[in-house]
Amino acid sequence: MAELSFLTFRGNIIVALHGEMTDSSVRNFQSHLLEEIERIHARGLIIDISALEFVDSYMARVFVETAKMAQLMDTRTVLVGMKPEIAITLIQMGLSFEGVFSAVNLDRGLEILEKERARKRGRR
Amino acid sequence: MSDKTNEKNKLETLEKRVQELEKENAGLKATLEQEAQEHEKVSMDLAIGLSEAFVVLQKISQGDFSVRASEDVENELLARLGVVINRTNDALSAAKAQTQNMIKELATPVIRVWDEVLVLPLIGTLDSQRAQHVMETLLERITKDGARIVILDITGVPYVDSLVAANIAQTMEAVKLVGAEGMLTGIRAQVAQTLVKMGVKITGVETKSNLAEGLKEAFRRLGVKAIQEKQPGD
Repeated sequence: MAELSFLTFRGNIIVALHGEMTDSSVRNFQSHLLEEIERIHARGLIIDISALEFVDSYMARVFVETAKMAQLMDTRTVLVGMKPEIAITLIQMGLSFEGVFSAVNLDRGLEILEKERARKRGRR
Repeated sequence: MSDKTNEKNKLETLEKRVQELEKENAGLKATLEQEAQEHEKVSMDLAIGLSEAFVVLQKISQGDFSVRASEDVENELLARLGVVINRTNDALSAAKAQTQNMIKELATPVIRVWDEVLVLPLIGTLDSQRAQHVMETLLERITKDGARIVILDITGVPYVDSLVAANIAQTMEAVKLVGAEGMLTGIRAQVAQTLVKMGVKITGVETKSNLAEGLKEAFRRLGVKAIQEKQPGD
């Protein structure tokens, strides 16, 4: 897989995945991402998977896991641009995506993060 | 003396004539035999060809359009029969495919009722094949239109089986995964019973009694307000 690039936008990290990912590159992605969250104290995280060829069960589990880890670091995660066929496969495999937000596109993803932040402020 | 020679000559000519006739007779017999053989072969071919054609027709009548009758046979009649059967087969299978397509399209009308709000009213019984098609069509539309809220209205579905119930639950989950909010409206008493009895969990999905309520909820979430300016009849 090509080098990962993490974009920062208004305190959120945006990362786009593309092509094919091996199990090791998925693990690599997870650890680098979490380090980046720690480094910049990210408030939100957006993972754009619209250019991914496929998502297997391992990758899906890692995404959910990463979202939970990020949650522990007070960072909300949004999965953006999942293709219908991928969604159907993952659901039919019986995977649970609890704790992960989903959005149709990047705009919506940012919107969800804004809303979550507003909700948190309101609670305080 | 001359009488005797005359007699002898006559006898010779007659004998010759007999020989000639015998020869001719043998020739005729041979041709007859040959023709009889040929005839037998043709009727044999016809019988085999016809029985093959019957097998093909029987399969077609059972809905198997993959069979072909042979058009490339010696017998002209059989060849023509083959061509006709194959043409009929083509026409029938094309008509069947068209009807199936039409049913599929009619079965899944995804309607955009408001900006970013999609409604999919389901009518009639759902089998798992149709439920799968519903799921695919709906998800495609969500990603294409960038919909926010999707209302699946099942007022027109009188009952569901366990497979279909699971499929509806899966559809709602998948809707969430591609990034929209799902809503389920118009669950009939029978359907509600089935869902609960079978332990189908429809998590994180709002259910509303009917489509109008669903639409109101969608408006509320989008921050849209509908104002009644006049009482009807004023």
